[in-house]
Amino acid sequence: MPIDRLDLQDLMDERSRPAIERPAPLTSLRGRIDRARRRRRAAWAGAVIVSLVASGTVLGLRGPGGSDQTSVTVAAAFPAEYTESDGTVYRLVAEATLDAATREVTLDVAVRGKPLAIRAECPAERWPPQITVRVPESSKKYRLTPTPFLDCHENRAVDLMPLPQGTRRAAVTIEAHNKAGPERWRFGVYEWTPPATAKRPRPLPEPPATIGTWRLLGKAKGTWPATREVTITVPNTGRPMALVTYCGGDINRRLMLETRVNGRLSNHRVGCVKPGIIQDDGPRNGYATLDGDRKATTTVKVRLVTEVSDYRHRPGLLTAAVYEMPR
Amino acid sequence: MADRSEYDAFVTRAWPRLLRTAYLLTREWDAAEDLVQTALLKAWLAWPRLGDEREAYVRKIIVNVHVSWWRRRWRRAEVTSGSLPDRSQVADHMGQADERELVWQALGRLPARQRAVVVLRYFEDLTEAQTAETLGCSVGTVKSQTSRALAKLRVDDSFDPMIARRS
Repeated sequence: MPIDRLDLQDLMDERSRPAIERPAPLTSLRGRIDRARRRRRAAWAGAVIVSLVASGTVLGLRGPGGSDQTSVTVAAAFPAEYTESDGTVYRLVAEATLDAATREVTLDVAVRGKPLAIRAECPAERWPPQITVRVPESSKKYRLTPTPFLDCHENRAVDLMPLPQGTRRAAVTIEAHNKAGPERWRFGVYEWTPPATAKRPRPLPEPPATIGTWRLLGKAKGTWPATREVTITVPNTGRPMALVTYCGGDINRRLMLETRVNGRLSNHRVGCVKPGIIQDDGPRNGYATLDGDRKATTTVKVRLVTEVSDYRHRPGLLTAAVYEMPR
Repeated sequence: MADRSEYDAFVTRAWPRLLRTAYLLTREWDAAEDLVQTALLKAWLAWPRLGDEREAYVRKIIVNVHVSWWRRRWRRAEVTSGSLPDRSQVADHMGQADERELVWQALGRLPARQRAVVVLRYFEDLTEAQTAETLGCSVGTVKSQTSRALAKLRVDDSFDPMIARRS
């Protein structure tokens, strides 16, 4: 039986109403604005340097010995090696640049059995390049994981899907989006080695007793990789419930979470995020509404998952908490 | 010229309304928040040039960024969304889907542009001309997209909500 437009309006009003409970994330927004301002300043500085290079002779920017060759580095190169806070060492194996002249580049990368990851220097948020990897004798395209997006916000290395065992060479193709402008994107392909001795991450904050008007019903914590799954069982009062999850350590946003509610697997895997966002702004990232069913209790199981097996050697923390909406 | 010191107050005031619109477009709370933040960031960059129609400006960005995201199928990937299936999905899995539930699911299956037209026309209560202006298309396109969307949603097109409200 068809519904009428008023029903449609009511339906959209009802479904979107929880927005009222979600305060404006001013902290997160200010962070994005600050990063955008820094990028703008960097782009402006780059433009100034480029214009200086163009007029280098006039300004006397000559190479050693008075040669006409001018060498100016617009931005610092990617580090040849760096260590993340958990002790994982990232080593640069290849670099590439995309700009108005070069819309696609393929890097031939030697693979030594270690996981690969890509860091990007993003001049813009829109239309990021696409990254695909191919290996000999396979038609499969490998991409970034767990999501196919570069990390332009925190400038962290994003993992590539694991390549088949025994792979010695990989072709990493970076292709500008067809709508992308003339911005200059830089990429570093890294291989990483987990720490021999894992450094335990800083402890996570406890889930607050209340977030806004939501009340804590139950919580569970685990230390990755020893604990891969935590379970919370709470009484089912029939009121809406929310699940809040957050992670500590460098597994943040690199591992995903699978959730089962009363044994039923959620359709979506979700990322494990930092706790700060939740603590500062109420239930935001990692927040999901849950419905109990007719059982007396609701059991929520949260499991950390990853395609990249070397994460078994990287430490991390997981906290999950179930909150109940007030009447 | 708009004063940037007013920006925070504007964000706090407009956030719930913008988030509701974004959620109806994306159907994931985290994606919706990301979308609104993206639009607010663009608004901040353009802030000195914005007149009184700031919220309409941000809404326009929300709708158009969403359409472009959808085109790229970003949201079809397993994104770091932080959202489990919402109540409706759980209810559906439990075999408790009712007519409203089916409409909600059908709304989610609409192409981004058609969904945007439905949200702008019947949630935001915009006129066809305002919807066309927001989407950057003609009034004729809004009419045809609306008609197609309502047919898919099995909404009785002859029913006038204004009459219903008055009665």
